[in-house]
Amino acid sequence: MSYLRSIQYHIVVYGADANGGPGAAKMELDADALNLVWQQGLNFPGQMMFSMTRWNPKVKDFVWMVDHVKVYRDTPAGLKVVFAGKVIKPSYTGRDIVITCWDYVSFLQRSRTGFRVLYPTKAIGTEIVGPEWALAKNVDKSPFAFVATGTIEDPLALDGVTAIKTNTEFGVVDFDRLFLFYAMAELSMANTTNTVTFEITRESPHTFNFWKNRSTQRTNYSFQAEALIDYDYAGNQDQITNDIATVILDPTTGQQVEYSLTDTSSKDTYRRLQSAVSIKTLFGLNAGTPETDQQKAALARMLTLSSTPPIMFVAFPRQGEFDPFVNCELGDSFRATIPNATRNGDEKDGYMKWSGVSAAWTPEAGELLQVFLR
Amino acid sequence: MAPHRHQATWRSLIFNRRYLDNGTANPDNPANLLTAYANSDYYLDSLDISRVSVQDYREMRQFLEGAEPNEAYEGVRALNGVGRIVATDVADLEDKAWALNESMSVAAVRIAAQAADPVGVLPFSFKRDTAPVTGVENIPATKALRFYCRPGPGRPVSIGRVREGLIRPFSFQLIAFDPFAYDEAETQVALVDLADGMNTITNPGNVYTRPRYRITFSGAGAAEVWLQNVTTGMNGTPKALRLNLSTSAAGEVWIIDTARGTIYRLSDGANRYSTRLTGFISDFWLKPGGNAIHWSVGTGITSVRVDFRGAYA
Repeated sequence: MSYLRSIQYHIVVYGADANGGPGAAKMELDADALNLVWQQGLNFPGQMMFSMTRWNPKVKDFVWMVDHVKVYRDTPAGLKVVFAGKVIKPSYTGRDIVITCWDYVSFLQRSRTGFRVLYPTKAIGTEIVGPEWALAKNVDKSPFAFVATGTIEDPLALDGVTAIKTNTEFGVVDFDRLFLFYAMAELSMANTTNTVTFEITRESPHTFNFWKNRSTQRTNYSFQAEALIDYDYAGNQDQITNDIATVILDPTTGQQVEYSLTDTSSKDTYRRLQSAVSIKTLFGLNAGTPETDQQKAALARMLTLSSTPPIMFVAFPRQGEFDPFVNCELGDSFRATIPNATRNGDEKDGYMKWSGVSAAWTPEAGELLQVFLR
Repeated sequence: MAPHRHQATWRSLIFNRRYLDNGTANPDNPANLLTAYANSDYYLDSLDISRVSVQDYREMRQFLEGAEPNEAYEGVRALNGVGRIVATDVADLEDKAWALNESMSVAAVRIAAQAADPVGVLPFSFKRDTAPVTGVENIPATKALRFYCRPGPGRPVSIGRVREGLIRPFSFQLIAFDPFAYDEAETQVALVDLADGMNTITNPGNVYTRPRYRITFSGAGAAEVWLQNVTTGMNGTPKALRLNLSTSAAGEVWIIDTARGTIYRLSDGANRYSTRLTGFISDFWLKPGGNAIHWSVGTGITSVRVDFRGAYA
């Protein structure tokens, strides 16, 4: 038994069914797609692009913004759908056509929230994202009519028990829902160690989920700099602040007063590096009443993060060493090791969160992956 | 490589026509020369088929050919021919020179290849010697092969000059964007067992080739038909193509073209890819040697024929 390529991509285009979902298969583009590029990110919309020859007869069969497309990655590790979405538009040149595709999450940017819809003191998942998703899915001629509603969870605060809730003034005013869901997920995990994420699954049945904490520490892959084709590890020292101030309301006097906190050990190391912030939301914090104490707790949490800001590590693994979405998912953490310049000891050695992946593939050259960790 | 010992053809040109190229005559024996062409011929003295590069020339190929799928194209092979026009008189010499020009014209070939298969390229056909040898003259057997080509730029070269007599040297270059040579004759093998049985298809070449499956229907096919090449696959699992053939009708012929990734009705080219349930057509290449092909249900099917040319790297 043998195969031509250890990494083979397949691209299949589907027509739309009555619900606007993927219907009957229309064409296979394995022999036609010349340069395939796709990317997926945690809580970000995904894109896929490929080119075809200008006069390829299959081009006439595309129905832009209607047809669906799936990209399958076929390797000894298994067959995985790495991208599912719609064919969006062509870009013609004299020789080629570049075809742009969006994943299903991207269509949330074409879904608008209501005007002045208030969500005071609501849990993020079941009481905001859930209802907004239902509105997006059930509106007449919704592009999400075919998407099932899956698990919608409420992100938890630092205690790991209490659901985070909005304050009494929270609401939406004609946002696009991609931004709303992104903001909900990112804010919900900003002050915790949770990985709050939303998705529309790539595999059928396509399902919308909002997870309160989906992250598993994986040991099936690790990214060691010396075993990679290349890597990009930029320091984060320019982001460090260790003395932060904010303005809070003094409950005794009723006056706006400055409140500041300092990370002593960081200050001792880096000297005093100041900044000021304005706390508008209280996500992730359930401790302390009244609101003043919550704001103080929020500032303490922000100080913790800003004195050791996250690092972006971009790994270029050797071909075939990392199989995206095989026994792993965005949000999982992998061990990353960066040696220091003396080759004695490590600049960085620890688990980092998988936040994105992009890939380029051609039949002849094979695959080049970029794996983003933070 | 022995094109210089046999006849070879490119479009309407016949090189080495003076050779009695019937497969049994010894080309080394002057007695076998055809006297009618001994003094009126394109003498192909050498043909260099060196692979230019294995790097990706798809962009250039796209530009030249316009509409071909890329799957089989993994490099470029340049066919550099050198020889002499030998003519009976000056008129014959000039006519042959201009016929050579036309046959190697990029524009003329582009037009001639518009409806060719593959599109945009034409076959350069030749023979090579091969075992066994027979007779007291040790006459080798021959194998007829072809490259699919387009003319290279800046060729042909055949320059008339004073006191040239009736012999004019020439050179030409053909570019084969698919570097593989293919059997001149197409192999056609019918699947004998369409009822959950195994069929053996032998690719006589030494590299993979991509066949067409030609399905002739006697009525509606089954709603679920499995096609598997048990010889190929990954991790011990053969690749499978699952089809719903229930929309077929008696008398129809459908083609599964594994090179282009298409399924269509032969009579009008209507797209039948919607019958694909799972699997990928591109997985159904034939490896060199025997291939075990499994076809699950023959309902409504008169015959399934596998058409291909053996490929040689």
